[in-house]
Amino acid sequence: MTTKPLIAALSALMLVACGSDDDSSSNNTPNSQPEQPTTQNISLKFSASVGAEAVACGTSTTLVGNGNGGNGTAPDIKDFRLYVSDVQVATATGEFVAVTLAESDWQQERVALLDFEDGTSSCSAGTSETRLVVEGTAPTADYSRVRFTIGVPEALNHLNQETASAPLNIGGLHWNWAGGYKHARIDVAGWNIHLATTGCTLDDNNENLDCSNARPNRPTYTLDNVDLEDSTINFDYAELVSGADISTDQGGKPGCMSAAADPECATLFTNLGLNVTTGQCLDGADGCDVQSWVTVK
Amino acid sequence: MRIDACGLFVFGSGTSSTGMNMSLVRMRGWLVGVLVFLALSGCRSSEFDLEAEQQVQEASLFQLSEEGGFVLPAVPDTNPLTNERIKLGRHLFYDKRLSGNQTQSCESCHFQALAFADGKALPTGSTGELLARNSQTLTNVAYNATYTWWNPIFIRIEQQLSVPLSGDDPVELGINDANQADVLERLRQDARYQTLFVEAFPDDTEPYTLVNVTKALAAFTRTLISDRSPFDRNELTDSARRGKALFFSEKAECFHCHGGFNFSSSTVTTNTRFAERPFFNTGLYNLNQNGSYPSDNTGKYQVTNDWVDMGAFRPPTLRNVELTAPYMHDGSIDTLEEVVEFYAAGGRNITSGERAGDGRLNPFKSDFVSGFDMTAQEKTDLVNFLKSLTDQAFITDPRFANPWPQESAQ
Repeated sequence: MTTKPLIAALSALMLVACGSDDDSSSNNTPNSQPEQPTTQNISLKFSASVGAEAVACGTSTTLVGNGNGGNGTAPDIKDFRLYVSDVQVATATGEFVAVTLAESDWQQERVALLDFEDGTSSCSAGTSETRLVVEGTAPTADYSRVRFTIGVPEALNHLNQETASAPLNIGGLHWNWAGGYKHARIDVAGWNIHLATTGCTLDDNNENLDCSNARPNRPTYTLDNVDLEDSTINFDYAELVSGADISTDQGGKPGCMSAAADPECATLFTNLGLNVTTGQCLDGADGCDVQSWVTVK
Repeated sequence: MRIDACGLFVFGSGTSSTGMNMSLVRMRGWLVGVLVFLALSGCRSSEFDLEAEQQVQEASLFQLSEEGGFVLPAVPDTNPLTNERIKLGRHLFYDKRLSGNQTQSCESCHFQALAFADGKALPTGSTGELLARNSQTLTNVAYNATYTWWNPIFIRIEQQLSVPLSGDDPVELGINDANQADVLERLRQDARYQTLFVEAFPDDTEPYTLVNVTKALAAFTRTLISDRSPFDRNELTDSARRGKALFFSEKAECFHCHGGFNFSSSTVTTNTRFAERPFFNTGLYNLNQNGSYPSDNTGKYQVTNDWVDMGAFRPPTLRNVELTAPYMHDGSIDTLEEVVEFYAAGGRNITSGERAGDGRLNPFKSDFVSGFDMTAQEKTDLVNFLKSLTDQAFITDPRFANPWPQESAQ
């Protein structure tokens, strides 16, 4: 079959093409200048909360949403995991530069996993390990701004998930029916949030997945006033489901499965800073920063 | 001859809404162009090589009958069919240890005696959750153009298997991040599997993986070939013969969606060059008088969010259809006779309740479900033809039976 080597060659090309984003972070040091630019370790700390209460598997005491006649509902946390990609930092006035992610079971070159569930109580289908940090390096500077995207990058979103390397090989984060990963899985009893790219279908020759018209559903957030030593970036479930009724299934699967037609997605996507119809940031190219669920503490 | 009929359908019907650009793929030069385009745009290439020399030569457990005359099914390069994988898959298929809580196996919803369907409208998963759709027959599943009732992007059994194995909404067998290691350890501890896994995956230092479980189950289910029915042997009663003529007539229109050797237009073989992967709305529902289906069962629409796909489901094979009642994606029609009445009416009018609506007027309904007038005798003939697709050899074939009791009796 003559097309096979061709496919291999094209795959190689394609990987190069897909990976080119990272080139922007490399430093073009002329050979005549042997001194390497200094880099610093970057460790971004993350947390998850229900209002003021730290996220813990099992029932929270904080009431959220507008169910129960507006009084809200105490969520029973079952899962709280999300992928982070395109992590960048900037000084107060400088350009954003890419953070080179350190490779580990939690991180690959282009994507990192945050895991706020510990497999106990209602999270019994999850994992005991947790992960509250994204680690990497960047050129030394006095950074005070952070930008990142929630989600698995498109180039990695359609791997063979069973044979992909960690952290892209976790069963609970596969979203096979839509041909990708759950960018974020935030489940409470009776109301699940699976943020993922939707609308991929087969291309015109009916063989390959085509996501060119899909809804990416990968929000990008830019945060100012970050102290890399002391700050924690917090995901607040109470803000995420503000205005939503998590005690009622309004149709389809309970909660939001990232579908434009899912009645529970509209409020949620607005809270994420996403346009529910296009899957793009509400602010367009500027990001998804019309939101209050991700903040710097 | 039946293969020709299938080919005719594939090339000539033009019924699919998925469409294809034949001029793009006809010539090798063009093919390269398409591949370049795909490589650059999709960052993904197909693992499914329909032109590949078949990977079934080593597998004597895979058998096609002479009278059926089937072409070989397409097998992905990544999972060549071997007797060892088939044998392992058969053991796994019948093993309750494969579910998280050890209460269900694949067989729990796929009984051989019922052509690997389960006779229920809707099945219940291992943790008690009710599924939204009817357990499908596994008859000739190797030939499916897509898998599951509704999903247009599952084009290999290996992809579909993640749903029963580790799907979590609803839970079926219930393998999850917390119990996966335990499930695999159960298999590793079994003396029989210690032989089966190593023989099925001789190159693997660690053969006890979910990937290999999936490959073995796919290999076994690909052998579930039903091609020895009275229809295949040309042993039709007079009534069935009349029913056959009706089935393939423009009056009943059945063959448009259930044509070809596998009685499903959603069929691919190694001869297929331009794969169609069709889905049809048959007018079962029409909620809100806008064509909606119940929100847990919107069909292909669930993936595409395109209203033309509302209520569109895959046309299943009709082989062994006598054994696979109740019918439709949600098991909402009990008998074959009622199915014929449903199509004769051109859809279903539900007059009361939360699913009220006249499906006959569903704006997204297939043009081929336009209704027909038939005498009672004609309807009986049609049903008798469908019953001629029942394959007794298939449902009693010891190659497909539970391997555990007879072996443990030794």
